[in-house]
Parts: sequence; structure tokens; C-alpha cells
Amino acid sequence: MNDYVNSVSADGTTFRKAFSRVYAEEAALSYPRARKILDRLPGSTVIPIANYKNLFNRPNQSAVLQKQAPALILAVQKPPFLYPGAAVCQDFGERHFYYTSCIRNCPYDCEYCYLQGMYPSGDIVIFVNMEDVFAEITEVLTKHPLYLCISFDTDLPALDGLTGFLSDWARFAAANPSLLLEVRTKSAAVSAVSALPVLDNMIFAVTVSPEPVRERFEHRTPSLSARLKLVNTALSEGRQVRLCFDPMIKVRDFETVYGELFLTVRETVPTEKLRDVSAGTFRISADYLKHMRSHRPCEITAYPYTNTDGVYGYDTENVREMLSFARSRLMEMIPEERIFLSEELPKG
Amino acid sequence: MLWFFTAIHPEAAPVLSHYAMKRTAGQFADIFRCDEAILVLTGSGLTHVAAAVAEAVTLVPPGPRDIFINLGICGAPEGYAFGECCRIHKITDAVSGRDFYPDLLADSAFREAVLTTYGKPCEAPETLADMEGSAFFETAVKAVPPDRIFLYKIVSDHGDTDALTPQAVTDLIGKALPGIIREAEQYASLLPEQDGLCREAKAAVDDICRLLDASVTMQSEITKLALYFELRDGNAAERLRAFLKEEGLSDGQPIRRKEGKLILERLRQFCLR
Repeated sequence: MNDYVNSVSADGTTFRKAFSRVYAEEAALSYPRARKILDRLPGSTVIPIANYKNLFNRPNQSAVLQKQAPALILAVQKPPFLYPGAAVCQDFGERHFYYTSCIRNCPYDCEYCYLQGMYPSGDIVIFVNMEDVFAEITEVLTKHPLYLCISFDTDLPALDGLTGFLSDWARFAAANPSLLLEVRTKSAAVSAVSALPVLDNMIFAVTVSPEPVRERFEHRTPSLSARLKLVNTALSEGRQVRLCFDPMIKVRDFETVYGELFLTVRETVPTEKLRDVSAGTFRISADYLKHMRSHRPCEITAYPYTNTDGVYGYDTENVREMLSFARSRLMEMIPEERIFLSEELPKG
Repeated sequence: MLWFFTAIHPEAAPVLSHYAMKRTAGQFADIFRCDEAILVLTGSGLTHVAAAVAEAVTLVPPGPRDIFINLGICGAPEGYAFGECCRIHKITDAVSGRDFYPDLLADSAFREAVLTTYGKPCEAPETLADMEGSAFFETAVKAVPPDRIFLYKIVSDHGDTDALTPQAVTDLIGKALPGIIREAEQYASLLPEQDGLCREAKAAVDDICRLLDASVTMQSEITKLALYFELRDGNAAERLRAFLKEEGLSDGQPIRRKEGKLILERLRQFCLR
């Protein structure tokens, strides 16, 4: 829970349980995935809708409050299903970098998250027609390999207990070796990940933050130690694991706070087994930040960022200092060629 | 503050009596007020409701914790008991076919239901049925977000309204009213207060703007920096006063704008420490 809203009123009233309301497109209800999800939500009120956009894209919603009691929206996705990776996202040297969005919005509530600027709602949309997505990917794979991020606009492992989508993706990846999947997460979904086959073309990219940063800005997320448990379990099972120190937030005593994080990782994770690591400073499109500032005034959104070509971030000097610090610490754990930074730094 | 919107006087009577409201101005609607609540008597039918809601929010801009409540009787299919009060989670406009969704973010003590709004009385409703709900929601949502729009409908008939007296309507509303007020007030207490700077911080910002001979752009930047202080540390006024002292500007003598711009840059650095 964050400071911006009150979780409990003076007389004990609280927000509803997450997913106590499920809005379902009539077309979505005929999909077995929708039935499975509804079976896992006994007691929820199911409200039929014609088109998810009529609900999700309504103007003037209280997205921050909706995050406290998110509704679930079950829908059928229309093409296109694949989107080119955005310039602010790292491509890890992959040429055909795309992402797909079979779930929109995330159960966590990070104050810096770009989804707040991207979507007008705090509710979560789950698209149940994955076969259509798989068909488009199969078509693309006949032309070239694909590096596909499937957990950008959500946290797929965090929701896997409800959706079971990870095993669908794993089956599809196993059958398509020229497809490289990235599953980004802040979750501690050890059992969901461990239940999957070990695949060289399925990367689990776990985002980690220092505990003080997590406590202040990453509401409802698992602790650093819980996330590192997922990392270590996945590594011990021989999985491809990426560690993401991104976004790094410019907090007071940055080097002390993040220095502790790097030390903890070095001491507890067999870093030589990591596929690679990434580090980046907080950056966001100017349009998204404008929206976030008006809807969620907080330390993150109120910071006086510098606008460079439509992207807000810390000023160049700060970015260099933060990334140099991260690089120097990461180089103690992993070869430099496996370190990816959000901006190029002079060699050193 | 709670805003009540009712179509007819017998629906309004229990609210007026509960709050001891007084009538104020209103061209398209009768508007009643007291310190805690507003009641807008909209009249029946879609056009009347839309005009009344629009007029009310123009005359009295809603606050960040205000709740809009549409309160009225409705027809219902069998399965809903006479006098049952329901909270609406979906409204269908029978004429346009459009659907609207109030966000129910906190639990309701009342049964949730779908409402269909018709242009004329409906004799055999398949859901709860009224003549105002869709127009109320469609207009209200331009002024407040959908989680602050509550629709309560009290079942008064199953398609046959002949036996319904004004007193019976008043009695039905009066019975449900305490629970409705309680629910709305509880939700309001979960909502954030108005964001922004406290009075002391605003005064400090005004002082800095005056001392730096700040242009409109500079004033905007100083306000944003103050807001950052406030949201990060919760002590914008104190930090800004400390900055003035550090810059030797506490004696209250303004400086030239050119120099003010340099000091503003130092304020920016000070803010990021």
C-alpha cells in the first residue's frame, strides 16, 4: 500500500479484494482459458461486457485507486499481436526485438512504472486467445528469428497462479528454437517457474532493487531476498537468468544504498551462471510522465528531470555517475561483455 | 461532500429532511445545499438529468473527495423484492445501446445489479429499469471519476406503477438512506486529500518568487521544486526558508531577475541534495 491513498477508513472500511469483480467480453467466455481463470476466482462477480476497451479505456478513471482493488477484464485480443521494442528498452544486442502483451497491467504498484502513463486504468486485462498470438509468431519465424519480451506490460510469473500462461509459452518456445523469450518479473514465483521445462530460449529476467527502494516505491512486490531465491532456484535448475538493476532510482546516499544491493547479490548469487545483467537509470517518455504527474504526485514523478528528445531522465552527469558505479560493481561479478547498460559509457 | 441527484421530490424528501438543506440557485434544476451535502432535483427523463447534472457541477465545482449519488426508485423483474436497495455496477442505455460502468472499489452492503435506462416507463423489465441512470452517469463522469459515482436503485414495482403513492416512494428512500450515506462516507474517507502545497509552503514559494523577480516560467519551476521537497521530505516550507537564508535573501530585499535566474539554478541544485 502506498502513502497516496488510505488503505483503511476510520471505521474499518477497506478496498475490495483484487479481482472480486471480473468483466468478461462475451466472446472471451467461450475460450477454455477464460473458464479456467473464472474457476480460480470463485465468489467473484462476473459482469458481461461487449468490448474491453469500453471499460479499460474510459476517460477520467482513478487508476491509482483502482490499483488498490483491481478488477480483472477477460478479453479477446485483436491483431497486431507483436510490437517493435521501444527505444528506451534494452535489446541486449538482439536484432529482431519485439514484445507482446497478452496481459495488460501488473498486480504490483511501482510508483515509477511507465504503465501508469501508458494505460488510463489500474485494472488488469487478460487476453485469452493466445493461439492467435502463437500463429502470428509462427508466421514471423518463417522469415527471421525473434527476440520476444512477453512480460513487459505485466508480470507474467506473478499472475501465473491465476493464468497458467507460462506453461503455454514454454511449450511454444520448446517447439520453436529460433524464438528467444524474455520473461521479466519482480515476483518470487519459484513454484511456477520450477514447474516449467528448462529451455535455453526462455530467459527469466528478474528485476532487483535495494530494500529501501523497494519499500518506498515498489508497493506489494516481494522482498529482495525472495526475488533472489527465485534467481538462485532458476540458476540451480540450469535456466537462463538475467538480473536487471533497472530502473535505478537516484535516492539519497545512492552509492551506499545500491552498493549494499550489489554486495548482497555478489555474496548470495552464483553470478558466473547468469546469462547477463542489465543496469539502467530511471527514464520515461515525456507523455507518460506528464500523465503520471497529474494522476500520481509523488517523489518519483515530481523530480525535476531533464527532457532529452522526448524522454525524461536524470541529467547526464548523474546518469553517468550512476551507471559508472553500477558497471564498476557489476564487473566484479561478471565479464564486461555480459553487462548491458541503458546508455553507453566510455570504456573504463 | 455527498451530492445527491434525485428525479422527483418524493425521492428527495428524506435527504432534504436528513440534512436540513436550503434551496439555492438553479435554472435547470432545483439545487439544495448545506455544509455536508448537496441535493439536485433533476426532474425525470434523460435530457432533464443531463442538464441538471451539468448545471450543478458548473455552479459548484466538485472537490477531490466528493461522492455523486444517484438515488431513486426503479422497476425490476421478479426476483427483486419490493423495497430492496441495489447498488448498480453496469448501466445500459436502452436507446443508444451504450454501457457504462461505475467502479465499485469498496464492498457494498447492498446487492449489486445491472440497470437499464429507458426513455419511457418499462412494463416488463429484464433488469432493474429507470429513466435517468445512464444520462446521470454519462454527464457526471465528466466531472468526477467513475469510482466516485454511486447509483442506488430501490425496487418500487415490477412493471406496474399504478399503486405507487408519493408517500410510498418517500418511505422506500428514507429506509435505505442511512445505509447509503454510511457507505458513501466510508468510501470518501479512503480517498486522497487534495494534493499540493500547504499554506506555509505556498507562502515560502510566493516569497522566493517575489525576491527573485520571477517570471511566470520561473514561478512555475519554483512551485514544482517546492512540490518535490514536499513529496520527498514533507517539509518544503522549512527547506525553502533555509535556502533563502543560505543565499542571504532573508532580509526581504528583492534582486534583479537576471541574478534571480542564477539563484533559481542554485535552488535546483539545493533541491537535489
